Amino acid sequence: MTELQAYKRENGEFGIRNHVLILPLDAVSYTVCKAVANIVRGTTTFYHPYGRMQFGEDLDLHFKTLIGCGKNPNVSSVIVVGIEPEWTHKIADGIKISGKPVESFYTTGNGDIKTIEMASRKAVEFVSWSTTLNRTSCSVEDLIISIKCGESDTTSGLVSNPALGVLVDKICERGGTVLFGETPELTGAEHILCKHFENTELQTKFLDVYNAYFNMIKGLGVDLLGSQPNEGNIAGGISTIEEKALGNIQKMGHTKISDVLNTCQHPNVTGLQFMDTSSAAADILTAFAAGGSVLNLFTTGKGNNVGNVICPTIKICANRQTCIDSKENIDVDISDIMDGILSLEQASNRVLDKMIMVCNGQMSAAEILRHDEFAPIRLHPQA
Amino acid sequence: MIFDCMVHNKVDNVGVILHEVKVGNTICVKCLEDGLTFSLIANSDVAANFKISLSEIDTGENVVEYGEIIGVATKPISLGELVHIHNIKSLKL
Repeated sequence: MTELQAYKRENGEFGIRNHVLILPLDAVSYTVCKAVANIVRGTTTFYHPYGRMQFGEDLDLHFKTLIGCGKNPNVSSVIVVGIEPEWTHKIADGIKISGKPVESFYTTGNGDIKTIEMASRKAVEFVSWSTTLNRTSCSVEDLIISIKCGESDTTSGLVSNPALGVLVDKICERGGTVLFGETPELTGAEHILCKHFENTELQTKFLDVYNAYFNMIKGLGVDLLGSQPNEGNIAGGISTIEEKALGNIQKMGHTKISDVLNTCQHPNVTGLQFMDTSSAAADILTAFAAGGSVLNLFTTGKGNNVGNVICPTIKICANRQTCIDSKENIDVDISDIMDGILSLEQASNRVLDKMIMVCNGQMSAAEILRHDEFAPIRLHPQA
Repeated sequence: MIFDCMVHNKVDNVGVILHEVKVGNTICVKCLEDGLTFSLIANSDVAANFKISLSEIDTGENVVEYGEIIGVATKPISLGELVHIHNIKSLKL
């Protein structure tokens, strides 16, 4: 039931997509990447506005984000493009550890046009090679899956998150790996989540991360209403951050949490794991992709249409009106659960069936609609 | 049977309305925790997915959903009234 066909990478990890990634180190280098992607069919690129004058832990996180996304098993090979050689090579060397083909090019001493030519010639080689790779049998348990809810309403906590929780329990029982995050959206449910950790050491590690966030917000003395919960949540009947968080944690099921990961960190063990992240959909999907997630299961109430350029996302919705209004954005409609027609178990199987199809190559709604978002998390201003 | 309102936990003093109700409508409520059903009269118009109170809630009293505190009442809330940001607020942030 959970068998699927995926790409086995050099380091033994499985991916469900086969991108030849043209990776811009910074905003300026995207122009070259875009030109290469226009010339060479079968390549993937994306824009991001960062990569210059960053420093300290913020720069480290930028490097982790780009290196992690390059190493992601949904990527077969990578061409890194930067302005100068030092940082460009640093990214390329980080990705090379995974064993996949990586080349780097920089515009200093070359200009745009010569860089575009060199990178395009290499991209042709990579696509030619990459398209000879075949999918091989593996199972859901071999994949790093991530979960997220967005533009939540009360149907999220009532139906779609509990249904996803049933699936998360099944995947983890079979030895699979599932990542969750959204540090801010645990506010008011953190005491419950604490009981889910495998041991007190992990519990303490989680509380240190959570309290750092909470104290930062408290220190600012701001009113978060309108941001947490956001206007979409409020329009969907959610009144407070506590209510949103209590709905959020339904999707973690009853599985014990086996580790606490830093932002963009690749998991070291199997099971359900917490990653410290923002709650903003594009940002968290980017952090999950950098952590090696190859598929994201995303519940929505009022309709968040986000996607990620590397990690496909499957949208699950129990709000009937959203399923009608945003039909093209929803992959799995489980709104019939509200009528008592469908059980949580049946709803979770509907998600699993779709998941296998998307893993085997069917494009998800966000992929078809070109939701190729990429949003690195920033920690502080540039120098 | 089609229900109008779902309650997460038996100690909750609010429930989620599944489809729009008007003042004076009799609402069939089901508790997901123990399966018990009961009815109440709506005291306000409540749109689908919004919350309704299952008891009178005084100013300063905790509002409970999922068996947990989701906030506090900022004004008196009568039985069957819409519960949202106009009459409750977060205790956290």
